[in-house]
Amino acid sequence: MALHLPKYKKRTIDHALTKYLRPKYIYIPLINAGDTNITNLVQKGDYVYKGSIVARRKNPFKIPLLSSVSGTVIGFEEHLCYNGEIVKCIKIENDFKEATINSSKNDKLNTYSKKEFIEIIKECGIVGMGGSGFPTFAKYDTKKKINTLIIDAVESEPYVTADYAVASNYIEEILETIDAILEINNIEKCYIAVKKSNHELVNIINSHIGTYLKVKIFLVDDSYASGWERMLVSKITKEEYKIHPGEIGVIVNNISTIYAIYEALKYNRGLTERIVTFTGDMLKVPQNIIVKVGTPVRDVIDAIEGYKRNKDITFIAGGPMMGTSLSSDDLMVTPNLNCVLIIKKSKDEESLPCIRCGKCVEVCPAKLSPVLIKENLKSAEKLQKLQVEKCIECGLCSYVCPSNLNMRECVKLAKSKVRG
Amino acid sequence: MKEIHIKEGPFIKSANKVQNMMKNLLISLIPIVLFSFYKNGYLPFKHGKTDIIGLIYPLIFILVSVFTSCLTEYFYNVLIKKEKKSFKSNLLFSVFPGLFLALTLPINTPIWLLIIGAFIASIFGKMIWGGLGNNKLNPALVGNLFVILMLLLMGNVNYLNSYESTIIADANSLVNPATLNVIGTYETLVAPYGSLWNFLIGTVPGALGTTSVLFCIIAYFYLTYKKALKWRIPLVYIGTVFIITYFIGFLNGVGLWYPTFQILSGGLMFMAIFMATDPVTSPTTPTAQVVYGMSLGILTVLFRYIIPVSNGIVISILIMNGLTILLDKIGAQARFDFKKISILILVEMVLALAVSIYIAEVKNNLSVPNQESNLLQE
Repeated sequence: MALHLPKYKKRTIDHALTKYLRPKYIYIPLINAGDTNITNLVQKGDYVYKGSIVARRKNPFKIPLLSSVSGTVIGFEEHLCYNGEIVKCIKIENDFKEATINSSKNDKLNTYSKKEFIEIIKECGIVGMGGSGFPTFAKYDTKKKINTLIIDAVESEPYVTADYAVASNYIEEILETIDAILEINNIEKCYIAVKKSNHELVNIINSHIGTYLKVKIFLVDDSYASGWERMLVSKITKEEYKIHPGEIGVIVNNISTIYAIYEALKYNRGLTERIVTFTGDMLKVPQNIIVKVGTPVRDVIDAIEGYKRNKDITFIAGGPMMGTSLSSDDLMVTPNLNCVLIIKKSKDEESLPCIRCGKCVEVCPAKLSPVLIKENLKSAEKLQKLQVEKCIECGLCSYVCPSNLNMRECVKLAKSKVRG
Repeated sequence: MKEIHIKEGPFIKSANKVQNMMKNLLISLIPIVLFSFYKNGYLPFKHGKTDIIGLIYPLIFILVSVFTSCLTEYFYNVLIKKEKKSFKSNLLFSVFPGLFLALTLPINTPIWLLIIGAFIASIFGKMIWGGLGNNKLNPALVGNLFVILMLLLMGNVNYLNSYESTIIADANSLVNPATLNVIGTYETLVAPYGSLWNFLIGTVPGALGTTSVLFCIIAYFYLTYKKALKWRIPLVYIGTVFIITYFIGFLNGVGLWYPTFQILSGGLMFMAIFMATDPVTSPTTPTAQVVYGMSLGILTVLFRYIIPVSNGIVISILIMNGLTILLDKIGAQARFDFKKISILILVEMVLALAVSIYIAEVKNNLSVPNQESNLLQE
């Protein structure tokens, strides 16, 4: 059953895109895609340029973390990260000069060889900007022949409109980059996946896509699960993969990531800023803002007229379905942060016993049966048979449960039991 | 200083809660309750067969049963489970055993027996299993089985209300076609009670609330639209009964009226839509629901030619309630690999065909005139 969630996107779509690019201090959290095994490369007192490498992830990915301003390293502090954990951060004082090194301008984006392309998007610190933070170069650094590139512009989570803001403002650059990527990597075709109901985006893309013969739009239905990578690949290529799409010659990139690749290929600029959707009914002016990586979210909120009230706040890094509720607003922007959602704390609603209505079974995109998983929590063997490891933690089972049970937590518990 | 609270995600929730589903269920029952009042209270009153008490008796009947159920649950919670639940908070969930019990019993059921039945439905059908969500048998049907058994033992089963008993000799062939030696003809099965339209609207003898097929169908669409019902179960259940009885009729040369009559009579529509779909006791996975419906159909048709119709349905549902967990196990696997359940479905289809052929053979003599004729009494 394709479940449609309420959208809550209008306010941030209608508001013009703004910028907050002058933070006094930035804090680069030493984390990438949930991994804190990061080697720090600077010391207190070092001068850094905008875009220079301040840390690097250990094996096997070795993706660098970049400074988003030029200035001096003040020291190290610990702050909240998007996953709710406290992470060590490099604190840098902004000298507001925006000084860079190695900048260049490359008019034709396709003049790189495949090897150069992989090297440049790696050293520019480009990671998955739809939320995963996975090092993008690793997807292209493969011996397997890639025949399809899928651009994810679905953005199915409610409230989040950061991808829409990038796509609607930079569509020409994005299409130019896609074309270059296809040529450099010898990929035959590209599909841009967009929601059927997102008429504005469909029109924007259609009005520019004419000259790009290898790029086509692929319309997906309006349901929440349609943004799931596995479902996208399955719908577009009609093939299934086991662990990652590379197995069947497919690469999926978020559309914001493509724009970051544009900046890298054209200007040799590292990933130092991104669009974040600041939204929710507890914010005075919800909007999409271009912010630098490492900016304290608190500063941004103050700059956009702040909270409506000072209490009863739930502060979420990410969207309403897959985001994490944090204990304070001491969050720093990271390349994978696409949304800051600030809503009124809702009443704690009582949970009733499970009435076995079966709605969780009907909505699960991974075809799991959460009801049975809940009933068999004691037996790891039975849980394995129920294939709990396939759960993608999308949250639809919790959303739909009439008894207010947090079925997602239940399945997560089951997963940990199976892992042992 | 900002007051920020941590909460577990997801942070948006569907508005369709259990309370909404229960309320929608009650709303869908309103036309049925009103019709039962019309047929068993207003019509007899209008024709001078009862007094004012008799006029509102159907409503009293239902209220007594509902009240007994609610009180039983409340006292069980307070005295035995030692929970401090208020009467009001559990009210919405505790009405249903009593409500459905009253609707599926004949109006002639003695009130004292109804009260005991509602008590038994709540205790043995629901509370001893652990209350809401834990019972493995449909509570109202547990009570129903008890009451009907008592009525049979007392020799007191009578489905005709005070008005119907003056215009119809008896409802035996309608309630219990098993007594017929043959499949039955239109003249014996339908004509004594009107036409098939009467069966659709519900002005035929039967239990208090199960006769009106029309309002049950309206309720089905309403509840499916409001996402408060396991819609596959009634669809497959009724469909299976129709197909099997169609073959029985076809092999005996009777027309489409026969399967139509079969699905419009005996309270099948009500039972299929309200009782077989009880969320707690029916399967949760889609393919298991289909197998559940098919099995119910086969069992119901089989029982129809052996024991009175409504009781056959009650027993079929209670049997399948017992198999729900097993079916769900298979259904969960079938979500990944449909082949695991497709064999079961195929077996069911063959079984359905076999049943229809068997019954057609056993009851195949149409032309022998029926000994117990049920002519309209002037």
